[in-house]
Amino acid sequence: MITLPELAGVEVNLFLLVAVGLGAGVLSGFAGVGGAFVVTPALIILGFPANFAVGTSLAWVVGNSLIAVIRHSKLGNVDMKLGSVLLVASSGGVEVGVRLLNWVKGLGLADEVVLTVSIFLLLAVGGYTLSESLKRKRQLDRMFANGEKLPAELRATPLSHKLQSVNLTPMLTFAKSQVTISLWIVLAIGFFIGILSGLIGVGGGFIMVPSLVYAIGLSSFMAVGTDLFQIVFVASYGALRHTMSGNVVILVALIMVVAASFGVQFGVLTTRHVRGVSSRLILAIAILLFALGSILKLVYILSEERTAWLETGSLIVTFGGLGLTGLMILVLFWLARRCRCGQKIPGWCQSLVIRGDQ
Amino acid sequence: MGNVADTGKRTKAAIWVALLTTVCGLVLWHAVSWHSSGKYLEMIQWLETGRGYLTALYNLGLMLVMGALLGRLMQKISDLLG
Repeated sequence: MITLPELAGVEVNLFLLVAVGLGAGVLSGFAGVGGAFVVTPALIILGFPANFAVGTSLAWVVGNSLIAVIRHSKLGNVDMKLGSVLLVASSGGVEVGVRLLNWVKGLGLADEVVLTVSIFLLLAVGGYTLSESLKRKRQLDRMFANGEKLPAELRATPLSHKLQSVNLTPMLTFAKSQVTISLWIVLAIGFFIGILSGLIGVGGGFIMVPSLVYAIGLSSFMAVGTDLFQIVFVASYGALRHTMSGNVVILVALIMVVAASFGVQFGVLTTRHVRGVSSRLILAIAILLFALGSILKLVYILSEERTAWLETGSLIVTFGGLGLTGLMILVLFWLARRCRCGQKIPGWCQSLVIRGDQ
Repeated sequence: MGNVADTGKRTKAAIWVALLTTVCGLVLWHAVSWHSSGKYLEMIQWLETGRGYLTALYNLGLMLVMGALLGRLMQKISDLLG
């Protein structure tokens, strides 16, 4: 147990902190999400007041994303030019989102609006990502059955084709991502995601990564690295603002960052053994489980009796889902290693992992 | 020749790992010792005065330094393990 001088009377179990950091790090390195949506509820469960949980998790995201960016940049997964353009656009969007949130708060409807928008967004992004990645998986399964060589990544969706063909000057070429697209489209996507991030209070990774893949046409891993690059800056700004409000317990963030550094390495390492479709599939499942947890929480808020099991259920679904996601990544890594060593693996996952001869 | 170059690379990586682990340990020790000595609580109290920005910069600096050090450390561990 460690005692926190900022929070008189609050003691935290060191092992639980390490476990949370490690788990969030794995998901962050594998799926490219900042991890705040994992860490914030975890800290609340560990006994932190909500404002401290939000501020501390943002400070943690700064360190965690930086570790992941260094790793992804070594693997050539970061497009700094695209990340910088997105950063400018999303920063403007975040400010608009925060103002929108304050307006809604003034109406006394903050919790209801934030949760409703989150649920619609999570269901839309999670549902689309799941259906697309299942479609891709079936396509890869067919190729595998026909004995064709499977590509590590299938690129360009119909939407990204359409958006890339819009000739609205200035057109920007992002050599690293091998994409040429109008500046206005990138700015519009970044701005829109920024508004949502500011409004629902998350780093935006789980919206940004699918957007970069489906709308702009990046490969999954380039989207992950580029997204993490811009998250470092967005989270730094958020952490500064929260420290000034006295909401950051830096020792807790620091301990979790050390634990996460090992988890991130494992997550990033796994991306080298699996196809992009696996990372999108697991991200989609995590998003949909998180949506289910949020629906339970919304019903709890809207119900007059405030039934306790709804709140408990929401936490169980959120945490159980994250545990399940971590387990799936672990199993996928194990299967990929078996496949590389020439050992037999089940047929359903042949198209999810990269074989040694590919 | 290849083996000699590989061994040299790994020795270099091992030196980096030792160095970075020491620095990370020192940063962590510094944070823990400031917490237990009450120095950090004093810094938290600065938030109510005009010096609050120093606390904010200290926190952000600590996370950025730790993130950069750990990121580099993990990279060197990968090099060491091949």
